[in-house]
Amino acid sequence: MTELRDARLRRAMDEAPDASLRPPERTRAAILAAAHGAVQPAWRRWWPAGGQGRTPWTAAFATVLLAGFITLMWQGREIPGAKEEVAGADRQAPAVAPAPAPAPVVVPEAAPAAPAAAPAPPPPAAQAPPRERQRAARDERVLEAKREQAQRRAEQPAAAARRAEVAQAPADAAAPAAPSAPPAPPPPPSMADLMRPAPEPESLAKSQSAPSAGAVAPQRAPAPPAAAAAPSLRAAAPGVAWSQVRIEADGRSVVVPRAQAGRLASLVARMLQAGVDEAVASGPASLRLELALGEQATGVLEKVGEQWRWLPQGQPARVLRVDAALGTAAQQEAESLLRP
Amino acid sequence: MLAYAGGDAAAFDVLYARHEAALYRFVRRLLGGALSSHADEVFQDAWLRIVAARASFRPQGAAWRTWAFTIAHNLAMDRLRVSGREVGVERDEDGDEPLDWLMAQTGQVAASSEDQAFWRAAGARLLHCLDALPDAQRAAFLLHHEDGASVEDLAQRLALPFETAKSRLRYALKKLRGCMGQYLDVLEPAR
Repeated sequence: MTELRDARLRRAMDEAPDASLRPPERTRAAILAAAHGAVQPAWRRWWPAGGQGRTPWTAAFATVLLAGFITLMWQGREIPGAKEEVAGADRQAPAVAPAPAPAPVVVPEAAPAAPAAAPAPPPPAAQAPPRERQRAARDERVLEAKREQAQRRAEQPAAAARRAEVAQAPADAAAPAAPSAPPAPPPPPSMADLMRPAPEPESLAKSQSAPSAGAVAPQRAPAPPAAAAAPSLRAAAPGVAWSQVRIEADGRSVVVPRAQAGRLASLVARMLQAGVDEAVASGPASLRLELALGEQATGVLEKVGEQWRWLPQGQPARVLRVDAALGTAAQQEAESLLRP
Repeated sequence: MLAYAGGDAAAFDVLYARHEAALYRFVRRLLGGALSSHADEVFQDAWLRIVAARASFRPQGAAWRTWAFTIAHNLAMDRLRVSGREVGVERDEDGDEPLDWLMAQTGQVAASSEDQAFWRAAGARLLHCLDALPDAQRAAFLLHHEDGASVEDLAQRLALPFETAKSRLRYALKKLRGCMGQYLDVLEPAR
């Protein structure tokens, strides 16, 4: 025994009741697990051997891979079940855009159709049935005009080629123009009305005057212009489209939107489809129908005596070969619109 | 330890088995009776600290046992400090005296130093006496006797001047001898 060491105390400590104490089993297990885990490779910690790990890292990793793969597969592709955009919106845009020249017939109709609809917009649903009938009637006229045109082509190859070119644009515009019609209720015959190539009616009238008999001519008269336009309705006749008409007679004047023109629109269309008379009409007009497309005038239809004179914008005037009954009906309709 | 630091997990198992009892005993005795319930936690923390510092162990320095016991000592002292354990708790030395009970049971007038039972009673008494020591003195005694650290080692491990470590140990022994009392009077000093 020294001052700082005592064997007795050492022995007593060795024999103390707590000499054989051990830590609890859970403490031992925790220490050993921590020690083993500390020296495990990193990959081993993420991929424990069969069921040892509590966290299903394998399943989680596989899920992430699968999600990434599916994302790459659908990247850039259209999502099924997605709702399409409103059909009218897309078709409206192209119909309105090329306003100036390329497809003047249909485009102008689309544009004026909207303003025409504004003053008197009937419900589209109510317009559907009559519009369908009108479209059917227009289609029939187109088919008839096609047949006539085929015949004309055999006789005039050059004119037929020109008509074919012109026919394309309105044909394409016809489809968008149809949907645009609903908002503005207008007579479908308007499609045929608007198409009328300027020089052609004369040439066609000449060609048709040869074979025609009196009864045949009037009937066939409308055919060539329609045929010209024939491929039609497809044909664009610049300046014939109109959205409103100014009716002047006996010092009175009234501007009527096409939608409110009633029968006058169809009568005017038929009159414009009439053949051209070589006679010259002179004198003051008793009745004037100024056709305009928005702010732009497209032509004037005047009654001079018993004749009807057509003055297309920027083109020489010509006398139309209008049936008497047709002319009278148009005059009466115009006068009825003039009355307050 | 070096093998374990190199990635050999089995080497740790051997190391742990070899020093588990001594280190646990040391932690328990250092915490004393008042904080004996903390012994498991401090013991586990000590081993976790050893695992975390495995790469920093240098065999050229102190022995692994010294290194590990120092870690355990620091954790136990921190726990004692945090718990605000009163120092120098007086114990009632009347009545339940293990030696008296033992002598009564055995009918012996004087205990024999060879009697295992005597030593167990003496050990129990020593635990009581240790509990009564101030924390710092108890730590010095245990490190010196339990771990076999020299005074120089003790001073280094406790970051104390040599003389301070020596006086701390001296005081601890003095109090323990006084506390053990008749146990040591009976026993003859070991040769």
